[in-house]
Amino acid sequence: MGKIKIKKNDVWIDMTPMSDVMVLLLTFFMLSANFVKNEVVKVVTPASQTMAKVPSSATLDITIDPEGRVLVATDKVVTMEKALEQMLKERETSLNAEQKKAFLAETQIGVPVKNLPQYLGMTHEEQVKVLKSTGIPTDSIQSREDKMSEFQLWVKAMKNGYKEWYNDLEDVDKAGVANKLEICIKADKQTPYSSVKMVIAELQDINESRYKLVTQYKKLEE
Amino acid sequence: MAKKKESKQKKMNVRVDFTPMVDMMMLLITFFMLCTSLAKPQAMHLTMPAKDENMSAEDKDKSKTEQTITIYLADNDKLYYYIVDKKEDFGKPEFLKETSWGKEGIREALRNHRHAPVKVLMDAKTQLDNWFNALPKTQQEANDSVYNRALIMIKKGHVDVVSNNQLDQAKYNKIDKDMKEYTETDMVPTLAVNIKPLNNSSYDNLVTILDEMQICCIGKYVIDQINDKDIAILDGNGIKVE
Repeated sequence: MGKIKIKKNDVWIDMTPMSDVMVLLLTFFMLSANFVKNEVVKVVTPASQTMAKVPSSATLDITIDPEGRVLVATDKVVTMEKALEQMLKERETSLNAEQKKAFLAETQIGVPVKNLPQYLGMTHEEQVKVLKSTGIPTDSIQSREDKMSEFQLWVKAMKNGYKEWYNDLEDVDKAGVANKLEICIKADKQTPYSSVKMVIAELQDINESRYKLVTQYKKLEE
Repeated sequence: MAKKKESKQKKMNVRVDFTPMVDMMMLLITFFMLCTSLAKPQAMHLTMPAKDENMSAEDKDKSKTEQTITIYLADNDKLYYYIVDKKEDFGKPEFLKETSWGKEGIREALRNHRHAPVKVLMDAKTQLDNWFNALPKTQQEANDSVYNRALIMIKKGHVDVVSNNQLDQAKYNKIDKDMKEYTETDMVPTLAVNIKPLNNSSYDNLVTILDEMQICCIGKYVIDQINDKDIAILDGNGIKVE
């Protein structure tokens, strides 16, 4: 008799409150989300008690890893596209349409332009290896009259690319859009000062004197 | 017959099983939790002087010698500061002092500098913060620019724009745009800091010392390269420059 009664018990659980909570949580995470960029070379930034946030768009990120290698990136694909065209012209290299597409999907630029065709033909694992061992050359190109380095050319090309894009905007669309790229320097805690100094000196050479140093928030010890 | 059908429809079970929905939600939440970061990185603003070959060494260093401190960042997170009272003394190795990071070390040295203590400025800033935080939320936004301007005034030495945790509106309005011509009350001397990181110091040290400038309310600081005099000072104390 007892056994039969247990079998008849209804074990239906009402999932509605649970799904309510879930929807709330999901909304929270979706609204507060900043997607983590899949950067190959990651750095641990130092801590500071500055309150200002890194701008969410129109940034030119310069990453300096502990060995002093320099990588650049920007969040605007249009800028990247324009900068790439200019760099290919400057360094007399050519890429086919497919390679260009692959290049624009990259999150960081960290190889000399001359090596780009070869780099883009590699598998992902090989690319990661290359990115971790090269970097954009920062020594001045002797054949050039203005003795600029490839790094300086990239910064200039990106700045110009963004400006072109901004100037092409209709006046209505310009509201709320930054009128120039903001340079964010992202260096590792362990990066020697000499590397940072060199990057800053090169930026000063091309009249870029305002930067944002990317840091993590730390509470002030009282 | 028709009546019977109606009663059957009423009996239909309208309970929906939410379990698959909850499953899907769980998956989505997990995805968002793993692929996003909640904390956005902070940005510290840095402006370097543009390269100008015509600028002479004298122009660069207009601050009074006794109101200047030179900070050297060295290998292995070591930190030294150098204070002299007379210009002629600059270069003598015995004035170099080693200190530590943080509240007890370098901040103490800056706070209690003999001729231009930043303690006064920090107190003024605390008062300004108190005034600002006591404002109702709606007014804070409107007063944001006032706050920023008052903070610059304090950094330049006009500490009397605040008193008793209140902003002195009359004095605030009197200070002109350049914040130079202001004779009603005395300005306190402000400290000028020369930050000289050696090549073997780390970037972390640089950011920490720049952060210290913000904490100590110092408006005049410059990141400079070491010159022959600095090398003489450091060499005299046996500090490796490269």
